[in-house]
Amino acid sequence: MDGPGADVLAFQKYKHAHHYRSQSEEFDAVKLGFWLFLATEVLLFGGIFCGYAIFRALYPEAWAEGSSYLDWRWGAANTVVLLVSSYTMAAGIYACQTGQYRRMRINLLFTILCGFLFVAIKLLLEYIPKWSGWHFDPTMSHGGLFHYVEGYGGKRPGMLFDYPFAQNPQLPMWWSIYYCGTALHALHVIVGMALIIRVYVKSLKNDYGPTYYTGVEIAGLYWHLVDLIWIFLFPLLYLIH
Amino acid sequence: MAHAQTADQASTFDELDPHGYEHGGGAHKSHVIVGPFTLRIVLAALLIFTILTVGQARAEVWVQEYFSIELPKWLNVAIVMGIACIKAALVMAFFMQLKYDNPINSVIMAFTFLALGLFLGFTALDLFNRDNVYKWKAGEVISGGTGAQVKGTGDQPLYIAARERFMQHLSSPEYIETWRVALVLDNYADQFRTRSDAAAASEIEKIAARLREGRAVADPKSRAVRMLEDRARKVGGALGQSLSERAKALVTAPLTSDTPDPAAEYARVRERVIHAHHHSHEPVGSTASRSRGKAGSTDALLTTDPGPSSSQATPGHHAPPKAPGSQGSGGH
Repeated sequence: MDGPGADVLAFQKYKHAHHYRSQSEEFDAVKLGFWLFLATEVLLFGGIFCGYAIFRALYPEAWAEGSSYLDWRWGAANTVVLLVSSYTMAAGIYACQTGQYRRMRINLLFTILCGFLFVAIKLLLEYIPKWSGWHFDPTMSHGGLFHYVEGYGGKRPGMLFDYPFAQNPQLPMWWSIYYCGTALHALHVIVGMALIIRVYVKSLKNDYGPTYYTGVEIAGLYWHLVDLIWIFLFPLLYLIH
Repeated sequence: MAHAQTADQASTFDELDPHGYEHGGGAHKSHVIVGPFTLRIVLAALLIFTILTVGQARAEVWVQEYFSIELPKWLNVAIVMGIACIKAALVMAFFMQLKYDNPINSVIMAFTFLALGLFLGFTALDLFNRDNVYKWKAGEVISGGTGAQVKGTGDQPLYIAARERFMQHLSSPEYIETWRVALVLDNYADQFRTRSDAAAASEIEKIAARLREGRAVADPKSRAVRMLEDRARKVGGALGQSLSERAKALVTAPLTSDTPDPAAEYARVRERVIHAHHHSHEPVGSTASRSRGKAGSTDALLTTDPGPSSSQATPGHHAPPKAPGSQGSGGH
């Protein structure tokens, strides 16, 4: 691949920062630093999980009511989307490590696509109907996919709460936790997508290959963390009734 | 790239470089590459666990409905959280490659989860032992969680305020006008049905339903006329002819002077909203039987909500189904 006379790819010219002894040392240091960052991310979501646990323990009935408004099918669909995208990310890293550039790019693109799909499901099928009452239900509507159902919306956090059929005083609290947890997670999905798009663009310039793939690996770690958080958010919000 | 240095790696020990970074050859030399076969097995395992966890939660609901028994709550929590932990471990070990990585990264994660455990543990310790320290403190946390609004509607809980806003909406001129126009459309549908023109009747019923479900507008009559004309243009033929005739008739049709009963409207809209929630995955009929344990204790959508009683036809204070603050007093 990099024999004499062959074109030298961009990643083969990569020189590690001067304060490292080798590229290998740099890679280990970068990864250690990133794991420390991931630790703070886990603790960030830990605060929300803790809030969830407290209020669920105090107001189990409000939590059961809140959970009953969520459609487990959208949650499960998003779980599958994220798991598959985690696999394609890992497969992209493998392809990079073994010098299969086309395969790497396809995997990265598929991962980005999954990110978009996740955000679309979250926004169009969950947030917008709950917030506004524009409800996705092709079977119910008289033409059109979205269908305004009066009184359906208003499931908003805290002060913004306006759902007229609530049965528990603490339901606004449930929506606060729901939106905090899922929106912070969705924000991480968007950031992760941005990172992977950056990696993809750089991969077009052959910046990554078997001897240098730190950037791909780091973006991958972030993306897996996003998956990891959702693995816990999904059962907590959708499945525990 | 220091490809040539790999040969003497084992024979020399450099005190300044005990980990052999300088002798380690090219970058990433020592890193394990996790192959696609392993990754696919892990993905398959993750998907199977997802199916298991969803299936478990659904099966539990089904068992409780079908046999009308109440399974202990911790069972559901323990199973789904156990599966989540297994899935998380798989992702971290194989996708994030902690299994093959420098152990220091695993140590960081282990301490993070330890910190998280302390965080949750000490919070629980505090929360559930307040009455052991001071009896009078037992209810303190609960009193802050009544859902009371900080400002705006005074001390009224948010969910009562939301209910009352909706009752006011049900008595608004827009809503009343929409209701009256929908009544006229119902009349038209009845006329077509007596003339056994079922197609036209169902078209008009659909438009009436759309009018009722949609947002109340200032001029519902012209909206209904527009919807009739649109539909007439689309279907064409004899059916279109009768629809456009009705559209013309509606323009000058007198409306009733009756007003809807807000309590009845509230109940009707509530039914529709419950239907929208459970439309395609749970038949509405089956939901009535779905109650766990004490009546009205859990699945709030499905328990009977008294709503505003019919004696309170005008929007005013409606008694909440449960006194604010009574929630959770039995929680621990």
